[in-house]
Amino acid sequence: MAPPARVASNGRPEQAGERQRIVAAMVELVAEQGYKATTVKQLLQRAGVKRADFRRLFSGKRACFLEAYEEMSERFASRVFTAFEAEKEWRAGLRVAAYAAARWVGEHPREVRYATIETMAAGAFAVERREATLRRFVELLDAGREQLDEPDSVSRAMAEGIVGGILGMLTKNLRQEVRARPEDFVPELMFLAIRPYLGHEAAREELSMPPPREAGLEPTTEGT
Amino acid sequence: MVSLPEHLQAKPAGRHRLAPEVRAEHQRERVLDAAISVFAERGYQGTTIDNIVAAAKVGVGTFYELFDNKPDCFVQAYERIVVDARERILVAIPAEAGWPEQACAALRALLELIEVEPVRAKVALVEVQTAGPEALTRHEETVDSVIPLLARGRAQNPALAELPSHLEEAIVGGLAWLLQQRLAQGEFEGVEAHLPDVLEIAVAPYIGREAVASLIAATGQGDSSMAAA
Repeated sequence: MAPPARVASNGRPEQAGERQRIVAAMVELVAEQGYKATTVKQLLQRAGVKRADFRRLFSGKRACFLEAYEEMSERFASRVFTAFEAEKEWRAGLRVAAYAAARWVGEHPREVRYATIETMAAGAFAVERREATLRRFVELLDAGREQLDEPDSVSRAMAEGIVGGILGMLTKNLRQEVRARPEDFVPELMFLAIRPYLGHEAAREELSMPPPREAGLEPTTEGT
Repeated sequence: MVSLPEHLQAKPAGRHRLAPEVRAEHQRERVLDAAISVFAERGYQGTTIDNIVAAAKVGVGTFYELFDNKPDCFVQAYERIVVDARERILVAIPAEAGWPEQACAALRALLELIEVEPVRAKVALVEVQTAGPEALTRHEETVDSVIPLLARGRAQNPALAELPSHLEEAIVGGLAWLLQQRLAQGEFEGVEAHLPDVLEIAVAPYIGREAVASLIAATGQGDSSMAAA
């Protein structure tokens, strides 16, 4: 039997509710005690769901962990890509996207922890999924090659290195519970991101560029 | 006739033994090397202590004399790889050269090491991520230890004084991610394939792209430092 649709379009609210409660329970329990210590039994208790209903929705703990991860990363990606696409210009789009990313990271420390520390603790299966997610953001940056007279003069690896560095920085400083807001790093990160594509002067301009107005950064209608 | 120091004098006939501490260190290294192979082949989580002792041809008791548990074994294996890598990279750095040449030599040496020691590279860059909090902490420390070395690049050009303070953090994080990705995907293609990108990410922010191109051309000539080692 195929799993029920994620959105309860068939008018069976209790199934959609169950999935959400289990996913929420996973996120809570992992935040409290880590992935390894979390058991399906605890998930059932926390979510108020019977085992048979859990099994109908998820093949096991691992699948449930990944599902929760996918949901939060989809919310994050949606916010970032929406911001990017609202601008006509690549550079401006990147800046708005960077602020959207930084603000989301600042607003969702538990999800960030889940996506970094807990994912690594869960194991290689989770790390691989996360790496696939991050590669989506490489596309945003790699589009900068179209700015160049010779698009092939910069390799895609550059975009990978920059994305890796940016996300590492945003999440690392959060993990270390440093008081700095992620948004405070954006000018520096824009400097790094822009430099290979638009040159040193343009990159330097980013250091003193003010944050975009709030209007460009509202959450999507899906919520945060 | 000058008499030899005691430790060089001929000993009575019979089995000559290494000092116990030397023997113990050899054994530790042998077990660590076996553990490294197993961690690379099976992944950290897929590795059991039984796998390690079988590969090392020692008993479980010996394992527990050397290590508290699997995470501890991994951390010691990781440190072994990193300490060795540091030595080999340092040796490759020309003492009298300016920062750009030194940075290029160090990064080239790192890539060469990855090329000739793919098993160790996989353990130190990929497996470390899922090997527990202590391993992760050591790895962050190792990656971050490159920051001061990179930051010396700021002196290259007075106009760079205004570079953002977290620049080096982002650079080393990005480099680590890039190398880790290549290794995890089995797409590491050698020094010459990756050196331009690595230098563009790590060195070009300080000296610019043209200078990096000259560096590659200049330091690509001559003996490979790793091959000569």
